[in-house]
Amino acid sequence: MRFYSKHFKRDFNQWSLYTVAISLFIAIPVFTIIFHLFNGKGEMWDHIVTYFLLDYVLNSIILLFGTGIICFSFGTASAWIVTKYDFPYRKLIEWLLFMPLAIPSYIVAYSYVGLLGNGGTFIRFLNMIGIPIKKIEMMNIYGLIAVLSFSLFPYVYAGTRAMFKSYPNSIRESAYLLGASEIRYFFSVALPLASPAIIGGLFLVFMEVLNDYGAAKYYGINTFTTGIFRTWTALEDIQSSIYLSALLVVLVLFLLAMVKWFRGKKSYALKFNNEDKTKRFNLVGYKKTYLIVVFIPILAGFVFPVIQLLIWAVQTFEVIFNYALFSLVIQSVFVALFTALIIVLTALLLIYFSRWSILKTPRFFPKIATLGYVIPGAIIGIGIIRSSNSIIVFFDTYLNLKVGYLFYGSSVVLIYAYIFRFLAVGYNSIEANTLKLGKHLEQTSYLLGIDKFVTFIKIDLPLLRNSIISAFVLVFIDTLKELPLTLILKPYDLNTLAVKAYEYAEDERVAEASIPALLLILIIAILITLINYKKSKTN
Amino acid sequence: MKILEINDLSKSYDGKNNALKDCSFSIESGKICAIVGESGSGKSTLLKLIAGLERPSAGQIKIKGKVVSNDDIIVSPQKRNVGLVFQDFALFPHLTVKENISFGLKKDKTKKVDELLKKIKMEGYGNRYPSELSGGQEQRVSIARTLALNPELLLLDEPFSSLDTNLKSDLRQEIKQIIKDIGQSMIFITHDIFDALDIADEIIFLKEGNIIRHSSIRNAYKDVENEYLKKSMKELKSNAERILKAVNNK
Ligand SMILES: Nc1ncnc2c1ncn2[C@@H]1O[C@H](COP(=O)(O)OP(=O)(O)O)[C@@H](O)[C@H]1O
Ligand SMILES: [Mg+2]
Repeated sequence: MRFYSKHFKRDFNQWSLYTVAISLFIAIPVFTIIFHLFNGKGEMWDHIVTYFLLDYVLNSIILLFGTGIICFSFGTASAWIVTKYDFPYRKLIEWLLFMPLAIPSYIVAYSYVGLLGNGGTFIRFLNMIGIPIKKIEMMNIYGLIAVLSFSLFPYVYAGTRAMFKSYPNSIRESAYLLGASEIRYFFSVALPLASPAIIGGLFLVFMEVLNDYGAAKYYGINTFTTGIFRTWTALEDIQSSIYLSALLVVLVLFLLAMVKWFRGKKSYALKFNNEDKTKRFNLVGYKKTYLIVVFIPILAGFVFPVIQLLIWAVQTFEVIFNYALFSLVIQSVFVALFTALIIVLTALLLIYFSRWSILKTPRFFPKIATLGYVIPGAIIGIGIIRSSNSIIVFFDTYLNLKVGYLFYGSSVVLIYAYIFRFLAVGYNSIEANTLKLGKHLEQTSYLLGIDKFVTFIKIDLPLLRNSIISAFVLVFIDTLKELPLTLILKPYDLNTLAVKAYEYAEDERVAEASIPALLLILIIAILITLINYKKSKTN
Repeated sequence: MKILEINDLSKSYDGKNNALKDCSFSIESGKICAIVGESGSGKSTLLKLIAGLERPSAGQIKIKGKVVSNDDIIVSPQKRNVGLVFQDFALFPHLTVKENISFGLKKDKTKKVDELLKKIKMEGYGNRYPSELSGGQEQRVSIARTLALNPELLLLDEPFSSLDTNLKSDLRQEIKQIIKDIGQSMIFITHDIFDALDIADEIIFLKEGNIIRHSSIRNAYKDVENEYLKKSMKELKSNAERILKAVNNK
């Protein structure tokens, strides 16, 4: 990258400027955090270091290891079984393996306490068949690992399955002809070839684990994210929570560097299939037991939690099912729709402005704007509160304007936060497709005398339609599930399904959380199914 | 009159390596010029610079005596009146053949499209989509789309490379005929000196971003000094003789 161009005057255009301006505006929270690091440590910092820090670090690392191992095992094994073998209801099972993504992990955490806690559903079942057991303790770090793993493993499953499906049959056949056993083929060929996808999926799992607030809080495990919240709200020491955030970011950067290093080491030149033409074997004999590997995560990550939620829903139906619930659905959906719309628009602006920038340096800036996806929500929340306070103070002292209400009385700040957090989701998936389109189509249009905007409307937009729709849906789902940022930044009178479920659970009324949670799951499940259906149709 | 004048033109994509280095040449109006060179020698880059799709790192380009790019000035591709047919044809996949051809037209669309469809012998194909065409048909549509705007200068990036290498193949002859019939200033890139000999008036050899020879077709084989050229000419010649023999024996 060169920061100086001899032809700066000739090559500079407004698009360079807009790219830089929009990117910097979105990334304000990052700069705020960095800036505040130089303000010195907070009052409680020494106290935190002495009593809590080791806990935060160790717990977070144990969580990452535990969820990493379980997600890796179940994610790759289930992907392997559904791509290599054929069995009744295979398509349905492939779909069910995605479904845990529809349930936010904190809701899975609640449901397990209902299943396995004192007098829980499953415990009563065990008692009934004569096993005298009081409860299975879930509210510890192992319970949290299990809950997070079974709700997050589909991130590994999804990428790995796509990878396995793309292998040409010839690889497998030649491996077998060379005398490799099935197990050996799996470990020495199939798995290593899929490693970029597996690493990518695991990275997403790790980001979600570090971002989790609801489940860890409910199970009483001290992690970085719960620590940041606690320091800020209970200890009222925002400066120390900024320090904690910085440490967490260091951990994230370390993970990111590992991913880069690992991927850099391995790159394979293989001609992959685009379609699913893989030859499948029938599952016969003892091999039918393989299905256990597929059923465990489906049951643990989707079926059991949903059953528990349904039971609770029946119990609390009369109290919860009312007009307020309806308004809750409307508010959640509306906020998520609005956010998804703005994010898709912002992503398109950034992608195309930076494409239209002749200078190369501005094209680097959208990378900064999309950092939010690797920064846990709690940190973004603090960064934004800090920045808005500075702006409010600035308006008050220099212009004598009270703008506080605009910031905290409306959803403006919340939606801004969502944009920073989820821009990458929209940006990356649309950008990948613009790269696939190449440049010749738009260049041809220019040579036919058509300007940039009309070219964009007539050529790029129709060709990107599908990827824009799926980016929109993905952002919509993420926003709908989001908890920590929403908790921090939502205006007093706004409520979402996710927040409401959390509030009931925190209030020791966990059963009442079930109906908002089920509505959330239903909406997301429908959308995931729609996307998958669309994908398989266009293939 | 000169349709194109190029002076000391250089292009570097990364600021270090030159894809094109200090190239100078000019082309008279109405002439057909072939550019020959190995892959990676900067042929496509040269066309993109002429069309205004890339910006030169140094040097100047004039079209019909008017400066279109130098260190200070850049005329946008829309205003150069240059047509470029890409190697991959770049047909808009979501538009029909008719819509592709009329894409840049402002008026008389139907009349012009019918005329062009006739010229490329594809009268019945107006309502098809590019995915329903053969490679040769796609190419002809791409050429027709470019001709619709009557460009002053037509650029073709490897128009023959995707076709059957058989010299006598109908497709090849058809494209050649279309190109000859256009009868206007044109630059095309080719790997094969036969295509150059068959169609072009002059020929430019590019190697590693430098023009190592620019001559009329008649003198293409004369006074070859450069070692590399000598070698490739010899290869080409023996190839040519071999293929000609084969063709004649048929
Ligand atoms: N968009 C680009 N970015 C960076 N390098 C490029 C780009 N286009 C071409 N190059 C480089 O410039 C050189 C010339 O490429 P090109 O003009 O496409 O050659 P040719 O058409 O003769 O095969 C090559 O080394 C190629 O790698
Ligand atoms: Mg080329």
